[in-house]
Amino acid sequence: MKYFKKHWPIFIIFLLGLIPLIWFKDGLIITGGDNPIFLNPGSNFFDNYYSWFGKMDTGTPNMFKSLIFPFMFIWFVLGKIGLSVSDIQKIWLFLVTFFMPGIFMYFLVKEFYDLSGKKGIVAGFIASLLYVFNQYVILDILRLRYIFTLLPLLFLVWVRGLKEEKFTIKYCMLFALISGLCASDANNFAFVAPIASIFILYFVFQLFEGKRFVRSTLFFLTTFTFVLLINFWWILSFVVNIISSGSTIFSTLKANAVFLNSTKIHEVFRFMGFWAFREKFYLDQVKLVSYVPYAFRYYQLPLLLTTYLVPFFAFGSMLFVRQRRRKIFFCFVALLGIFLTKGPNPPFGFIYLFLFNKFSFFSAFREPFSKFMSMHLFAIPILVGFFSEDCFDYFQEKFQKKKDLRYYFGRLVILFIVIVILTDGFPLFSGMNIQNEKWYGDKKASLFVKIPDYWQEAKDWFSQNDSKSRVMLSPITYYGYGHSWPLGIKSGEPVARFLIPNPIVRYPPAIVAKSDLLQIIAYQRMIFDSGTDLLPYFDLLAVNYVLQQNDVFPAVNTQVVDPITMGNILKNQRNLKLLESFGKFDYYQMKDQTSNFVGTISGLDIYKINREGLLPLIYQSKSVAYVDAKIEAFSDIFTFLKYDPGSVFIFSKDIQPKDFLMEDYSNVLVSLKNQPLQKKQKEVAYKFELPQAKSYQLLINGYLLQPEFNTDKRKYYLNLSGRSIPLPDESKNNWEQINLGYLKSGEYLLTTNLPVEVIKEEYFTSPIWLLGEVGKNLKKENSSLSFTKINPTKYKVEIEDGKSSYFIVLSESFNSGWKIYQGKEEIAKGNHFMANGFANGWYIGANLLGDGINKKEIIIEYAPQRLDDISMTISLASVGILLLSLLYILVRGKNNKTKINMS
Amino acid sequence: MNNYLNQIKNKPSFLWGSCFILFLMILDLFFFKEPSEVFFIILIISWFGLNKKNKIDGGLSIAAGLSFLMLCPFFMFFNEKLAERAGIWSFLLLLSGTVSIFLDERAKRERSSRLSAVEKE
Repeated sequence: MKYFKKHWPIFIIFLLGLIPLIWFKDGLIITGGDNPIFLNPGSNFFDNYYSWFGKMDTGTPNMFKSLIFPFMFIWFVLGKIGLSVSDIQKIWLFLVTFFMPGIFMYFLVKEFYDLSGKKGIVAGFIASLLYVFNQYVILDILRLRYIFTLLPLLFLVWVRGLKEEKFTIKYCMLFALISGLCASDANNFAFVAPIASIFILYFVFQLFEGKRFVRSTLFFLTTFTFVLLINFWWILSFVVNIISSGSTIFSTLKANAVFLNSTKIHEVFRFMGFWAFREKFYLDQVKLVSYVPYAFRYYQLPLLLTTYLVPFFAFGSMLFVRQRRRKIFFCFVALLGIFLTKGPNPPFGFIYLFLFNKFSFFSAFREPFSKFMSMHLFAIPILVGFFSEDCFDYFQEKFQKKKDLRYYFGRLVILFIVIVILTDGFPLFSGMNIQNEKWYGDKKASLFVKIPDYWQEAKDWFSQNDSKSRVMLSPITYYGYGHSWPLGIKSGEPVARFLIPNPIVRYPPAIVAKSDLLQIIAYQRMIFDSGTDLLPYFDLLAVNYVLQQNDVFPAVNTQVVDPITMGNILKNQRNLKLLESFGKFDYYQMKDQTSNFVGTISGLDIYKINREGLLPLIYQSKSVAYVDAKIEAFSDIFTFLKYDPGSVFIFSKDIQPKDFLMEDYSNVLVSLKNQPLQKKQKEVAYKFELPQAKSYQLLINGYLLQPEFNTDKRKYYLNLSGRSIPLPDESKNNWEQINLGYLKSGEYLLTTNLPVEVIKEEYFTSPIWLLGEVGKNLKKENSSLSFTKINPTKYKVEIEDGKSSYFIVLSESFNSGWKIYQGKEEIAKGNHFMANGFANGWYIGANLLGDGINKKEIIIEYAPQRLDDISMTISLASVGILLLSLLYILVRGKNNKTKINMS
Repeated sequence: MNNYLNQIKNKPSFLWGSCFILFLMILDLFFFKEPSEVFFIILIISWFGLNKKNKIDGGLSIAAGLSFLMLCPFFMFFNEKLAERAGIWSFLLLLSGTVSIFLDERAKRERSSRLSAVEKE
């Protein structure tokens, strides 16, 4: 009790930390927008554990592995105990966002005074208050902020370690262990890097001050090593991924740097400058609304003035001479934070621009506001704390002889500062910071979410029947799409990612990876050509189910078709069978701004793909079809080529044909598009190569032969290396087919006056194709394949190996990390290629797996997982050793103290 | 505050020089349409040099920076560009003040360590 009497701010911080509880409505979750992960953070724990993230689309190297600890792990464990997602979120917000950072900040500031005495209580209290009640916290309450929570504690340990008279590893170990609790934030490198730089800055500052060079350096290096060891489990895979795909990621980030200039320096001083804060947008393309409805209050009195008082207090602390040496460091950090947060804006914005343009990794800081704000968000509360204590002391001294004035004046100043801080953070107290139905006058845009029961039923169904197969989501989901749930939800990602256990295929996000192109084609065929047989796409994408989400809001501009139409499209697919339906859902259609009741339909429908024999995730094939085009050509191919399940396609634009691939193409498909050699008056010429001698057919896109493009009534001609080929003037078919007979391999020149320019480069279709006659049967001969998915990075494959060569395809995104092992030995090393334009293919030569026609076992494995397992072992061992050593040091220290006291 | 006034009172050259620089800063605030990085550099280095030469405590720069900072909310009512410019000058003056205080503190520390070394001898 005495302790709490002395540290009374702990009580107040505790009480204020309970504020999030008033935001919650009965049993609801706060989620949506950029944070749909809060639908159930524990649900993706195992998916994120592995170095290959197979949960979404056709898989990708896992860049977000660090999310699993502590974030997903805590939610997973608490969920297993039986706590609801809503309850866990309450605990999470109370502890991680308010109580813990407040307490740690209090003790950090107290450390700079006298920890046992009364000094520093006011400073600690004010600093902790500002650290958790500020405009930055208001803006993004759901952001992952373990490092933000633990930063004051880490800094406290760092300061103590550097302050020690004699070097010991106690604080190095403590620092490293605490750093392990911030690992989840590391998925956002750009957010963590500025915070890490604060520690380096303090170390350099100590060196500048000329203090204990050797001891400080030793402490720095030892701590760094320990931090590396503890966090090795995610650092290794992160570094490997950055090396392998960093340049692509950074160039994509650079191309999307639209918020680089959005933060001005005068706003940064008061923790503001978020790009959308004052912006407006059209809700559902109709209603113009502010992104943040309460934002205008920050541009009116009194908030306009009080928000500027905070930096005034912070830098005003430098006017008091006391503790100046310590304040200088925080002043530098605050100024550096302000300088970087404003990005390329003046003053000296050219420095930021230089870094951004010259160093590719710096493109991670494309939105400086959210990345660098943490620096002065840490420093300014401490400076305001110093200011409060200094002010308090100043009035105590000034009115030394006037007791009443001394008592009231000091306290009034503190009260004023508290009022300023709490006024600036007013949305937190009213719950206005959480997007609710009043924000945009639209229920579906609310972040308060109630998940309908039918989603749980669908989850249970998949868990019981087939939780490993890939599920294609329907209709299209896009960034910011919504569901008609009882309280609505708008989400940046498909909610199914968190609500069903299966890997999902969705319409790709705005930033499209190469491996996403096939999905785009499949979805577009589904919408624009409902008669298309989607089976080839389902097979290539290894999809076993389609989940029709009838509760998704239709939106014409984003091609999200209403559930009735979508249901009809799916029902008309020959190879789809409606398996299960869940829930009841009243469907309303919007017409002329009013919603009309259409009928009661099911919330979710599960369709199964009917196929015989083929297991599309891993399959075996005897030969490949060669396509001289890009992957987009699939859109054409399945309109003129009869799909043969188990086919393998290779695209000349993706890979250099290897000898083993050229042995025996079953089909040769050459697209003539985008590369006309010469363009005379209305005549184009194409130079192309035929890789094999075969009987060929010429396919002319029927679109070219429509009368509307032949305005000058010209007579069409086509010439193939001196051979004139007659053409019809018009066509009503999709493709006009002309037999070319047997053609030798080699180079050819085709000239024509067809209006090929009407098929633009961005179209997925080609004007002309050459189709080599079908050679071998693509189906396997005397061989069969079965597999077991051990985890997303490992498949055990049983294969009946014939005497002839064949191909194995794994329908996960192509990555050189995927390898085949027989026993412990890697096989087919140089025979790995990109199959089907995105997947992994291997050529298995005759008798490669050993002689004899019998079942052989191979393992297909994502090799980086082996490194990850080693790094995880190293980290776990390091945690164990450091914990035991720390315990030993603490116990020994306590015993020594007792001995000294007794003697 | 009295302390700073006492420091300035006996240094008329500093008084005129600093007033002139502050005048140029205000001129920039109201009359220069586009911010000039060269102007920022020249002015802030001159300000820093003048303070150092006259051994003025960095607190004065901090006070000047705070004055510009508190102009921001008022400028924001009628012209946000003015507020941004005031923010820029505030930042530069605060930086100048912090660097100045850092150097002074370091010099003080070195002096006292030299003194204690001499005392030990």
